[in-house]
Amino acid sequence: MIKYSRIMEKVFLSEEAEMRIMTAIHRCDIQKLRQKTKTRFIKGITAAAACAVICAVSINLIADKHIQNPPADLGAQGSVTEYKTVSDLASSLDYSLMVPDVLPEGYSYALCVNQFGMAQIIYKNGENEFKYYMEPAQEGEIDYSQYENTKTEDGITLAGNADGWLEADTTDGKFTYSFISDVPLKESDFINTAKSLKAYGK
Amino acid sequence: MESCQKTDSQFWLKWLYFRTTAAISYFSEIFETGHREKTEYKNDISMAMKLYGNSVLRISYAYLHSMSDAEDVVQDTLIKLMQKDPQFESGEHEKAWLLHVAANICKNRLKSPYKSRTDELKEDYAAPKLDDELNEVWEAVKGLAPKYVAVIHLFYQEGYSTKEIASILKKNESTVRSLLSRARGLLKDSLKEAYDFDD
Repeated sequence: MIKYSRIMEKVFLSEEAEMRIMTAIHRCDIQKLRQKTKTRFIKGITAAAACAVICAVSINLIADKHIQNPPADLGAQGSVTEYKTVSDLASSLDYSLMVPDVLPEGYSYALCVNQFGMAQIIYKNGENEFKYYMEPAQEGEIDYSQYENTKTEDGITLAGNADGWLEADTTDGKFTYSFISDVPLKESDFINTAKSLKAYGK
Repeated sequence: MESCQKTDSQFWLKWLYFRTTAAISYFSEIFETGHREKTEYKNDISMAMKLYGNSVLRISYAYLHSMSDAEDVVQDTLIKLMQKDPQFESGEHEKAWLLHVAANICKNRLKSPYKSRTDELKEDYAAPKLDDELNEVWEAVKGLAPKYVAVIHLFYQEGYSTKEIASILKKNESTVRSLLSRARGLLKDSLKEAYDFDD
């Protein structure tokens, strides 16, 4: 075991800390529920009174609010979500999705994923995967130390080994576009794919 | 004229009927939902605390270097879990979500002016006692920027692959590999012979 893991073994929640945290969470929970219940009770009384006196404006506002603001689907937030279609993925992103128009020979669309806001589209050729990532540009350079060879061609950085290229990255300053293959591919496969990027739906 | 008045009153009666029905359905749904929330998420929180509490505490401690702050992050993370109540596909998915949330809370805390003002004044009552050898490593890790600490922690402590770390930290796989490589380099420089992070 490395020393860092030995340090972390000494970092744990004591029973007392667990109890303290759970008590605080339950207290927070109860307070929130109380607050919610109180608000709901007042709303209920208001609605009943509004109904009784035929206060049309009040009822109208409440019902409109109900229709216009359905409860949000919290399950989809802050997580890794798979989509069946690129259209669904594009709708889930807060930026305009760019997709490759040309793919390496034999590859076709398999599925796509929104990983905490990073778009990932997976193309398959049998068991082999060709992955495309688009995300807002990050600080720092990409590390290619695990590859034997790298070269840059028309602003596209290729990385791979003696058998061929495994990764290509390019950026327009605002976004980073990466292509990663499980098996070595030809330079032209990556270059043609990276150059064929265009806004989805256009 | 009379027929017109009759039509008007029929319209308003129908309108009132539909609006009242919608309002009743709205309030009954609120009361039902409130009840469901109250009973469902309690078990999830205590289970999450038992299963992943230490993992959340450890990544928070790696970021913040303070047990009391790390415990606060555990609490805030579990409250987020309760508030958001997301659907998880598996335990691993839940753990990854909690680590992602905890990392974000830690990053926000590090940015907070309160944290930077009080950091040096705070005495960490529950800091783990480390011998010289471990203390040297911990001081070296503490000296890293938070972005490096996160990948080092998730890779070496939690055993995640760079692909999984990319997913947790919302970064490109290549960026994670790059951060990991640079973090190793920095640790090698500062630890020299004491360096034992596998390449």
